[in-house]
Amino acid sequence: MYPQDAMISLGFTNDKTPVGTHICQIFSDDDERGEALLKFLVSGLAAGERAACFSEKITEQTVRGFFADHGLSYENLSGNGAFSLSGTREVYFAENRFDPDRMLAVLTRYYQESLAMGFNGARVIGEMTPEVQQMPGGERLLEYESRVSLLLRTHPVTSVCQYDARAFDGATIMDILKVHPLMVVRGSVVRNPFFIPPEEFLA
Amino acid sequence: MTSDIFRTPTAESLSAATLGQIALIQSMVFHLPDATSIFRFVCRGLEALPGTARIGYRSILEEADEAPLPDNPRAVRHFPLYVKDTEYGELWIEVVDALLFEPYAPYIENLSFMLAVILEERRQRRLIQDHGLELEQRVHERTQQLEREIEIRARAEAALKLSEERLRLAMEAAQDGLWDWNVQTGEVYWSPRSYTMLGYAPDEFPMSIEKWHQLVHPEDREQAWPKVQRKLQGEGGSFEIEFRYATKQSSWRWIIGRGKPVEWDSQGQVLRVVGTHVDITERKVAEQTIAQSEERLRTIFETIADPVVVYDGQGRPKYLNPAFTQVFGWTHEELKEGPIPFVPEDQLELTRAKIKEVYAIEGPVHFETRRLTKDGRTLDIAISAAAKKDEKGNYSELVVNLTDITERKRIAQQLQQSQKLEAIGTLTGGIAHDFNNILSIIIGNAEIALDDIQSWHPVYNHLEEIKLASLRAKDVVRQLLSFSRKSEQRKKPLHLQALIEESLHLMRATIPATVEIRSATAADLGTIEADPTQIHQIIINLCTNASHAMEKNGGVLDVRLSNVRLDEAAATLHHCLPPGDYVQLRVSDTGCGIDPKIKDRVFDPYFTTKESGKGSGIGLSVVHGIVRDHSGAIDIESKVGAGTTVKVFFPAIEARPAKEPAASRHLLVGSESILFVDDERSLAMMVKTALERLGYRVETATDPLEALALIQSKPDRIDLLITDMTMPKMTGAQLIAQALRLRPELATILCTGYSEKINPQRAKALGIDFYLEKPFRQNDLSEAVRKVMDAKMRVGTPPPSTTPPSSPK
Repeated sequence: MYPQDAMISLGFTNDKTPVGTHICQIFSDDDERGEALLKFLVSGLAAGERAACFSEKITEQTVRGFFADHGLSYENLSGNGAFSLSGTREVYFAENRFDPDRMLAVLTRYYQESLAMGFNGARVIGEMTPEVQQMPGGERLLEYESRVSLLLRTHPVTSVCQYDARAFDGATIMDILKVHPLMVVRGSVVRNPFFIPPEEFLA
Repeated sequence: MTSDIFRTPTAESLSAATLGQIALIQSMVFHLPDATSIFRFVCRGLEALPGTARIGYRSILEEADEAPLPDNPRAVRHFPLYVKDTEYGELWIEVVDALLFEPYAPYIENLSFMLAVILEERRQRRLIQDHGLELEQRVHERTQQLEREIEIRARAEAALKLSEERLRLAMEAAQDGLWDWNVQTGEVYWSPRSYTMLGYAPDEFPMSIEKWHQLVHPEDREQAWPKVQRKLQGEGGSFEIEFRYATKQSSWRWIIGRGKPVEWDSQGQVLRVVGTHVDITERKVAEQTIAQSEERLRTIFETIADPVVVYDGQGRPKYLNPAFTQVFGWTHEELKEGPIPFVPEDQLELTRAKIKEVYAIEGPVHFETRRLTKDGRTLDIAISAAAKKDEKGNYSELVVNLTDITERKRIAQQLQQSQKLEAIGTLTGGIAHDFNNILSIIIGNAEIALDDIQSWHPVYNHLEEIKLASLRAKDVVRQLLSFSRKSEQRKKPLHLQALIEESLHLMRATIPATVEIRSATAADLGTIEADPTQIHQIIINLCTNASHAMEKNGGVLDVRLSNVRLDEAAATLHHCLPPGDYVQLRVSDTGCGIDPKIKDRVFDPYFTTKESGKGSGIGLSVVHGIVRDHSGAIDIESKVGAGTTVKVFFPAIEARPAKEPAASRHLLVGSESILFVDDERSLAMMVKTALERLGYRVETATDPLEALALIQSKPDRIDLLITDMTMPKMTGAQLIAQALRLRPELATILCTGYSEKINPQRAKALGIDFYLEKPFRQNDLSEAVRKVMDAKMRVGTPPPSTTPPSSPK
């Protein structure tokens, strides 16, 4: 288990990042999305962390191949629970609704299980899709994101939220930026100048 | 909800925050898909700017749900977004606390500029993208166009392929082969048919131009390959060559190859030639057969004796065979421009009518006509004409065969003449008997009368002329019989002089007075063995021809007899006579002469240049025949306008001619009893008188049966039976035969004017003692009687005595 102030690698940048960071990646390129995703997972798994991916845009085969290229066994990692691949809808929109509480519970449980399973830490990467805005509970997306920042203070699951700038409105993108303390800009993790701390945002 | 960076601005923090915002916004904006998202992104980010109430934007790029401007324009700060001359709209900020806002104004201006740059970049990118899209569109359109063209081309190729397939099928149906020659590589594509027509399996060997050279017959390659080469060297157009290909079975097939260059490089060099193969072996064989047939036909035309003319559609002779030139004299070169000028005027109508008939009946037409030769002779011609049609069924040629039947017609005329002469001969034979009887009566009575008067008597000479004329008539009858070959040849050693003189004497009356007759005889003229009658005829015929030649202007008829010795060379010149001594009879005239063109034909039977009634055309032929029968030869020298000389050569013999007993005025007398039988009563009376004057006892009978009865009734009273041959009821020969059965020792003489049933040899075989030809003179009769009776006397009767004529002279 990482110490509280441990700096970990996100895989897609050379910068070290404090464990349990909530990061936003705004992308407009599929390769940018995939590269960040895979490197993030491999980096964590390589560091003995437990990793989970919630995305509709990546396939098991792609992940398997990327893992293999980096000396990792998809089967083993999947088998011992170190890695899990799930669809966005499956995770975020269970029962066809977006439930921030359930999702926060999932994250909580996931962190707890990871520690229980002996992983050094836990990391999650998930891509939110625009349909969330039409989904029941979708209006609570920024709340959810802000609450995640709060949760991670106690359950430091390093989390990367991927948003496709091609799919979301500019104002929404700016809003999302405001609920993520760090963001990935041109391959670098930077402090988000527009970030609004959860206490303030949720107030 | 405001950010710390805005809430506590310092120079450093403001700068850092501005840079961070600009960098973040620039980075984020880069990801945003459109201007609206960008404006909304930026406006959302600036909502918490100190001293401001609202923030909004105006975009000239696209419609957006822009926030309406505040009512108080003075509170609004405008931050236009432009780069160079391009404006993208503006950010506007409703400032409520200018003091608070003012420090941020430059950053907002800067942000606006940055946004303008970003938007310009996006615009440029979009333009590029649009250009790219346009390019893509153009590429797409071009691609589609190309695809359509490809499709069209594919369809065209498919159609071409179909067409080629149809062509291939058509070619196969037509049994033709295809070939496609890559000139650069030398490779040649052969369609399956190209192989199979030569007996090979399709693709049995890879075809190439080298292989072509191997397969083509060497002789044909020499003439075919240069044609192909000329096309390759830029002559242009297609080519057609005929050659033979070797088949798999080692035979040859005739091929007609047609080809055409279809591809060239930039320098004009031929890259590809395509074409077809057509097997024309059958056609070639047919052509050769036709050529052979035509050659055979031409050979026939060239070799047959009949002239052949092939006229074209305009009546011009397009072909004449050699026989035509030989017979008519014209060459094709002389006649090719026009009609042949060989139709006599009187034959034009017939000829035109027959030509019409040829086209009317569509079959051969045969007719006889006459045609002229180049040298002006007229020939009798039998024509066979047929018209030939061309492929369109129009008459294109007229083939005319002209058979020269001049000779045939002449021979036919000769045959007709011969038959006429045969009839004349038969008639002559028939009348000769009677005529000789008549002459016998005349001659006999004349002689009796001459015996009865003195020579000084005025009547004596007249009687003598009657006697001579009768004797000439006797010779005429003999000639007639000789001409018709009904007289017997009686050759004997002969001296020609007396015969010539007698003949000339006889002919004097028939030769015009304007013709002078000369004769000369060598002193020691040799003897020949000849039939006097026939020699006499030779002289008459030759002299008659000579007199006819001088008939218009007169002249000299010169008859000479001489001895000649022919050495080997000279003898050979004269019709291959053996060398030796000959008696030459030369008959010359100073007449018109003989045309050299007909000189060779003058001995032909029935050839004559004389007008009708002047001659039969047999004169010289008879002379030639007689001379040949006497182992002699005849030669003619003549010059037109100068005269003719005929030389006749008779082999000389050693024997001397027997002396002809002179016509003795002393007749042989006797006293025997004679029975003279002749159905001609006058003759019987004349003979009775004559014999009784010689002392004989004569009984006569005009009926053989009566005579036979007389012999039977008086077997001892008749010593000699003289009988005519031709009589009613019984011939003289039969009478003698029966009489001899009654009286075997009976002396017999058979007389005949003419009879085919008896001749001297046959008479002797029948036991007849003497054969006496009528007409006979008294001394002939007296000698015959005495000869017979004396012979009998030598057997058992006393010899006769000679007594002077009983009548005074």
